[in-house]
Formats: sequence, structure tokens, C-alpha cells
Amino acid sequence: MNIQDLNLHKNPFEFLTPMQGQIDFWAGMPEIKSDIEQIYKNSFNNSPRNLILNWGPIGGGKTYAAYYFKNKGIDDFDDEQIIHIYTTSPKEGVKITKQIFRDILDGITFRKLKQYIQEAYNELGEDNLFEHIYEKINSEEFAKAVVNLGKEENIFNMHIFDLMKKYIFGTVSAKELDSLKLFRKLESDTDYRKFLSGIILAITSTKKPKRIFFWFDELEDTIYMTTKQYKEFFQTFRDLVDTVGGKFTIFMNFTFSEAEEENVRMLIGEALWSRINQKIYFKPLNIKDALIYCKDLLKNSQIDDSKGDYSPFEETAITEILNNFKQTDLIPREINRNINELIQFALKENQTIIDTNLYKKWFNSKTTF
Amino acid sequence: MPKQDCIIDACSYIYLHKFSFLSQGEEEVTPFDLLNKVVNIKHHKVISDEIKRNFTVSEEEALLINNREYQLQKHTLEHYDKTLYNKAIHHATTERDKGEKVNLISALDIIIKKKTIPIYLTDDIKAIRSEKKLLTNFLLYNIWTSFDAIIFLFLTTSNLSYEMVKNAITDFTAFIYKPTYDNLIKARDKKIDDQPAKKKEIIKKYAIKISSWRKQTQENKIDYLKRIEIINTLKN
Repeated sequence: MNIQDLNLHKNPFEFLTPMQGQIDFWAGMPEIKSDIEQIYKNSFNNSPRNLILNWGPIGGGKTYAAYYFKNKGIDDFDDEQIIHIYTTSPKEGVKITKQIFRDILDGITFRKLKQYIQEAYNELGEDNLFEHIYEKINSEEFAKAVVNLGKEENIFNMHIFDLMKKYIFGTVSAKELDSLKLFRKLESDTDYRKFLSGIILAITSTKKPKRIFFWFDELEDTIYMTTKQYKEFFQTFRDLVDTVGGKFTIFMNFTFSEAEEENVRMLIGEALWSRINQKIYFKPLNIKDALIYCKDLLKNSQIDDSKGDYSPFEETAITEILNNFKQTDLIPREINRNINELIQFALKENQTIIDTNLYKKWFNSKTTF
Repeated sequence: MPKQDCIIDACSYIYLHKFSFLSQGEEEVTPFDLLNKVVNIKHHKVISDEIKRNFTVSEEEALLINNREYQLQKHTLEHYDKTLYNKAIHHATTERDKGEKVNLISALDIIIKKKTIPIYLTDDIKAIRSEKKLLTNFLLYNIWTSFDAIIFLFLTTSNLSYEMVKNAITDFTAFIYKPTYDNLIKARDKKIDDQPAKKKEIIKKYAIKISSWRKQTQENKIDYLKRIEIINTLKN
């Protein structure tokens, strides 16, 4: 017996968040999906600042949301207008500002970066693009370096282009710097922040609007940073948010099992907390929402959708399963874990329909030693 | 009034030296410097050696460390070892195993000889768990971590600001809780390297362990931040 005998193409209840590229379907939690979509849309309506905190228990769907929006975007805007970057909290031994800088550049990709800045250069012209960047970052040198990335003669000159790459990754020599007609290397954290802001300002300056969405996952790991590291991390976020404005949206995913907002404030610190302009709580579901979540997943995987919304489950069975969850466990990961096991049990028992009797048999098999 | 004795372990000694409080117009002082002013810090010779092995100390500091060594007065170490640990110290293969035991013996010796109960300062969470029964059997309920030392300093030191203390809680969280977190990540990654076919199960197993440790870290930090918030209100 295999999964097709249960009227399913595949088992849709995954315990672990699937790989980034595999996610293209959203189940349940319509308010959260709608809130995030609205943030994407608002970003195109020139909102002044977008720093979003997504928080909730582990397995509540935050990483899934990041992957989903990275893969699917939103309907009203095309792929060229929405640039997604996904990264996790910097790991040990890494300079935080440089790591964030590199993650963002890796997310954009160097190939796209020169294309986007060239578009801005061609549309605005050298002087206007320079002014547009300079008035925000207050550095002639770094504004010039960003503008250089969009000059046609640089883009098609592989030697210059390679030197610009070396410049960005901090490995350019003094002589090479001279041949780029630049005088300062990127050295300090402030240099990297200014240059990064310049890049984002250039990319988002075209007539056809472009917006960057930066998903920063596992913010909770910043708890293991010392005060010095955390200040550097916060400074980078603050500079990006304050310099670039609403064209660059940061979603921070923060795992925390309690519903107490005050405790989240304490953990992430007042300085960052006070800059957040929207909080989305990935709370545990109620029974009604959990049923919608299961129905969406099952419908998306059914071979024959005329066999009922919950096929291969009988509605009474799936309702009973969900009713037996602790309220705090009614989160996607726990629902997935249990229902996944039950599906495996049905396969083992050669059952094509999962009813309350099968559920009880599975439940008893788990509790009997 | 004589200062209260405080028996410290090597980890806590190092953590309390890892950063300085900056006081306006004054010299930089570490949490250890401040604590040393209000309590009488002591440790066994085994701990002195452990500190010197794991922490770079100047000659002057080495001398101070030696001066803080507590000399057992009531019985010899061998006698305590035999009575309390069935000669486990004698047979210990690592210095670390000895450290927590000799400190407990020092604390017990203080109770018997000086008739006061000392503070027992340790950040070795595992050691506290394993020794707690023995500690409390001899009324050593006064077990502090570096977080507790900061609470005490905030309560008793006038020129320590709320911001400094909050930063200290952040730093101690990083020093004390991060190594276990890093070890869990390393252990998980090693297992995945060793058994790539079982990657999913390994991730699943470690996800529970890692999130449980992180939850413990979060709870501890919130607990202390709440306490210092209350103290700050009381002090102003």
C-alpha cells in the first residue's frame, strides 16, 4: 500500500520545514498571509519605514512564510520588482556587519546588482544618481563607487568589473583602488553600512518601482550575542532602516513560545523594539483555524477532490484529533507531526480511510508500552 | 561588620573578569572588582590552578589569586574526600571534576570552623545540578550564579546604572549559555556528517534539544531583566 491509496499525491504534513525551493503553497492562517501581503503592497506605496517583527512558537510557520514569499512573491508585482533576501542570524566568529552585507549582496546576486544599478544609471544619469545616493549616505566616495557599478564602460570591462568585485569584498589593493579612481577602501563597519545603503538606494531608484524584502530568520539567536556584538547588529539594522526608508523592508522572525509581548520587548531590547512598526504574532491556532489549515493541505494533495474536503480523513476523525491537542500545541509543526504519524499508521494498517476508530487505535498504540 | 565569605569557581572567576563597567571619570572596573569589595572571595588551590591555566593573568593578579586560596582548617582534604566522596577527588581523572568538589569542601569547612554560611558562586550549571543535593545537605542554600552576583551588586552599589546592569545580563547570557548552544549545533552537524542518510531524524532530534536550551536561556534572561527592572524602580 502506498500514499496514492489514501487519495494523496504525497503526504502534505511535513514535520520539518521543507527546503526553501520546495515551498509554493500556503495553508490556513489567512490573516497572517494577508498581513504580509499588505506589507509588501504598502512598501510600494512609499511607507516611511518597514521593520516587521514576526514572532511566535517554534514550528508556528515563520520560516515557512519567509520561504513562501521568497518563492511566490505577491500577485500585483513581477519578479523584477521584488527582490527577496533570506538569511539567518550571523554565526560565531563572523563580523556581524560584514556578514549582513555579504548576505544581502549574495541575495541580490552580483549579476543582478550590476543590471539594476545600470538601469538606474541609464534612467537617472550619473549626476542625479550620485546626488540621490549622496544626500542619504553623506559619503562622496561611496556614492561614487556605487555609481561606478552602473557605468556601461565598467560593466563590459571585465578587468574593471573584477576590481569592483574585489572592492566590494574588501580585497582590493591600493594600486587597484587607484585604477578604479577611488581613494578609500571599505574598511570600517560604517563604511560597509554606507555602501550597502547606497546600493539599495540605487537599486530602488528606478521609475518602475523595485523593492527589497529582507527576511532575517532566527532573530532569537541574538540572545547569544554579547552586548558589543548586539550593539553592532542593532546599529546595522538601524542604519539600513533609517537611511534607506520604506523601500527596504526587514522581516525579523523571532521564536518565542509565550504570548507575552512584554517579554519579547525585554529580549530583543528597547532600542530595536521601538523601531518596529508592525508585529505579526504567529499564534497557536484554534480548532476552526486548524481545520482550515488541514483542509487546505489535504485539498492541495488530493488525487480526487470529490471524495470530501478532508479525504482520506473523515471529518469527525480529524476534528477529534485536533480537539485532543493541547491548545499550545495547535501549531503547524505539531499538527504536521501527529497527522503525519497517523497517515503512516494508516498505511501500515492497510486502511484507505482514516476514521475515528483508526485514530483511536493509533492513539492507543502510542500510549501502550 | 566582617564581609561574608564567597567561594567562587574558575568559570565564574573568568566571567566576572570578562568585561568592565565604565564609570564616569573613574577607572574601569570589572564585576569581580566590585564584588571583591563587598564580599570576601575565596577558593581552593585547585581552582587557582584552573584559573591560571584558562585565563591570562599578570604576575600581580597571580599573587592575588594565590592569596585568595582558602586553607582547610577543620580536616585535611583527604579526610573530607574519604567522608564525602568515597575518594572520588583522589581518583579524579580531570581537574574539572575536582574543582566543584574541593570548593564544596572549602565551603563546608568554613561553616564548621567559622560558623557562618558562605555564598557559593558557580556558573557551572551541570555541576550545580549534580552537587545540589550534597550542597543543600550541609545548608549551602546560598548558591549564586554570576547573574545573582550582578543583582547583589545592583542592590548594593550606588554608581552602577540600570543600563550597565542590563548589559551585564546580556554578556553573562552569552558567556554562560552560548557554549552549550554551540556544542549542540556542533554535535548535530557532526552526526549529520557521520550519518547523512539519517539527516532528517537527526535534525528533528536536535531541534527539540536546541529549542529547549534556547527556551531555558530566554527564561533565565527575562527572569533577571525583570528583577533588575524592579530594583531600578526601587532605587529611584
